[in-house]
Amino acid sequence: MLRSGAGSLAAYAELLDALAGLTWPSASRARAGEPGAHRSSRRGRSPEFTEYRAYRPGDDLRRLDWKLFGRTDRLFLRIADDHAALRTAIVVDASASMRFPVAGYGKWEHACAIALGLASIAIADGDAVGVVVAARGGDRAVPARRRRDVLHDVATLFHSTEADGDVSVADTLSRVSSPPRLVVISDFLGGAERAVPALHVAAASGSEIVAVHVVASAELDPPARAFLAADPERPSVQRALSANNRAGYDAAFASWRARVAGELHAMHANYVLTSTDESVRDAVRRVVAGNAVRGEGNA
Amino acid sequence: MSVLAPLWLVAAAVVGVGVVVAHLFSTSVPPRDVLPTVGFVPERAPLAVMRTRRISDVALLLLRLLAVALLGLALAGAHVPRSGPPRVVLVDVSRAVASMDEARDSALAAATDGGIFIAFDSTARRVTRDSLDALTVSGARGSLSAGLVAAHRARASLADQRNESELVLVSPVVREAMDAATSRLIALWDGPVRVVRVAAAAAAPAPRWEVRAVGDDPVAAVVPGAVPATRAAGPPATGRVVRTLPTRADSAWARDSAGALVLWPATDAGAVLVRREATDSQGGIAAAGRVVVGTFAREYQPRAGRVLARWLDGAPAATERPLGLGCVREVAIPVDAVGDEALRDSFRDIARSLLEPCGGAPDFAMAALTPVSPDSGAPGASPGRSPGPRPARESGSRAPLWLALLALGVLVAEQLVRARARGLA
Repeated sequence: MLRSGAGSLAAYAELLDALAGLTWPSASRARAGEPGAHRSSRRGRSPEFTEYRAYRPGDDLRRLDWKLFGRTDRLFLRIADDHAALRTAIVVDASASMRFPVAGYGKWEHACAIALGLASIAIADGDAVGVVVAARGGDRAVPARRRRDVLHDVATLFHSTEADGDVSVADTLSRVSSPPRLVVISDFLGGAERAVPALHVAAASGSEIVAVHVVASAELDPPARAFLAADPERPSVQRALSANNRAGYDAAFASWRARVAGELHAMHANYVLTSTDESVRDAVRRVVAGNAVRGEGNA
Repeated sequence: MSVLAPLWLVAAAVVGVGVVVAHLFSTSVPPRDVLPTVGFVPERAPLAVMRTRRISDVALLLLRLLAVALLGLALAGAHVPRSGPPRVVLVDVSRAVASMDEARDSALAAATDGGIFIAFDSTARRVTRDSLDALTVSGARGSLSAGLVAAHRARASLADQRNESELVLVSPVVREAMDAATSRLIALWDGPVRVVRVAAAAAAPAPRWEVRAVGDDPVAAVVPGAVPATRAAGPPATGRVVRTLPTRADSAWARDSAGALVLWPATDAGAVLVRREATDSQGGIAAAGRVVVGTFAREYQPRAGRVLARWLDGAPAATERPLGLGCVREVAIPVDAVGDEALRDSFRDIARSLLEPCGGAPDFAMAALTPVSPDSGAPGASPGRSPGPRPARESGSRAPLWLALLALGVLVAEQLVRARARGLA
């Protein structure tokens, strides 16, 4: 359950205002579908001219540019890109590890705000957006819709969900039917670590993968005092963290983050690491900008 | 408190020091906090060892020290000797004792708080612990029976405190100190009887007598080895027979030199003996198991004292009473200067019995001390009671076991306190 009174969409009003006008282009050509803002992999008769191509036997004669034929006496086809909408599924990890720090603004709140920000941008792009929360007791979902009121439903879903328990995001991903764009917002800790192989499967089936790795500032820089660290998902796991083994912790955590990033980059996923110290607006901007850069490259 | 193996106490002390030092290096569990990335923390002991200047966990420390101390005492076989019944210590100061120091030390070693000291030779008297130092060996013959009677009387004063008291007899227990009542008096003692034998004096040298008599005195003829009292040469005399009027020097000699002064007046007996109201005659004298039959005019009688010889009617004919270190004997047996009476063996035997050292001839041979049932008269015949002195009992044989159990209980309490401390943490 969200703290700080995030029960309504109004709680995210400032964030949504800050993100207004942003677009979230597809990293690659979208599959043909409902008309939308993303360039489709299908070439059609869009009014937006793209290029000419020499006629080849079998081409649709209706796409011939007769004016050009009159000037050059050669047959060319007028090519125009189709634009399609990109159905986006956002999976948010609501495991116990996301409820950290326990007091104050934590990873769960950070993840929810990022999810809502991305959803608002996608809605603005005309994409259908659905949100699935991998929570204890089963998935909780808001079906994909293109209407803007889906944001209200998503906010309500986040408000009514409590991050707790040992949740397997990988299972949730396996249940989500390969959407054109799949966004995972998680800390990839515990059972969520198995989400990376699940994302491999989704990527292989053609989904555009966006992985938002949420870490808490207290995880990157734990308190200097010695304390007995306990895993919130597996309370039996307890280890003392002090100045003596702090360096080892930092090295191991950094190595793991690099490994996760490497695996996700290897599947051409848009991987964004964000800390709870970072503003949500900046984190969302980095996510959509990353896709924009990749999209330009692919284009 | 006594211990059988003191080294265990040393070991316990070392362990106790170690425990205190260990509490200076407190091992504590740091505060628990949630950290989802705990999996990246290198595994190590969850306890942090910290060195502190102050002792931590005082309650636990005290419990642990107590447990260590109890275990040390248990392993060392510590026990508290039972204080036992109050002891009545009979100290022999008779002539049979070779060293008074030895007897005194033995008496002090056997003493307990609230005990009673009784010194005895031929008579018995209660003494205090402090006055033991002033005791000296008397020249008197010892009488265990006299001492035992005094002990029984002293015990009666303790009866309202304890049902049982222990009798400690510090004595060489020689034959001359025994009589027919000794064993029965010991058997009557309700409680343990312990005998602490001290060394007996060496056998006395042959008696040497001086005789002061006028003319050809018949008594002087029966005194063995008699020398004239005026002759100063040779070893000092052990006895002096005065057939004339005694002098103050005679009394001083007997008092100071433990000699036997025998006042056996040949003339002027009224100056020494007590004149009888009526003079009569007796047909014989009995002494030392011998009887002399004859006609004796009985005009005088000796003063009261230990009877050495009696007339046939039972009246004392010779008595002995102590005087300082020695004794004075008064003999009211007339001896005619004429006739062969003094030459008869029976008379000589009786005369020699009167010429023994004070307290009689010493007999320092060691005697066995066996309680005799006052009912049966046979040694050791008392039913339900083992013959011979009952040894003093000592408690504490189970003390180490109780100490170990107590230590176990303290360790359990330590576990509870530690568990509670963990719960609070």
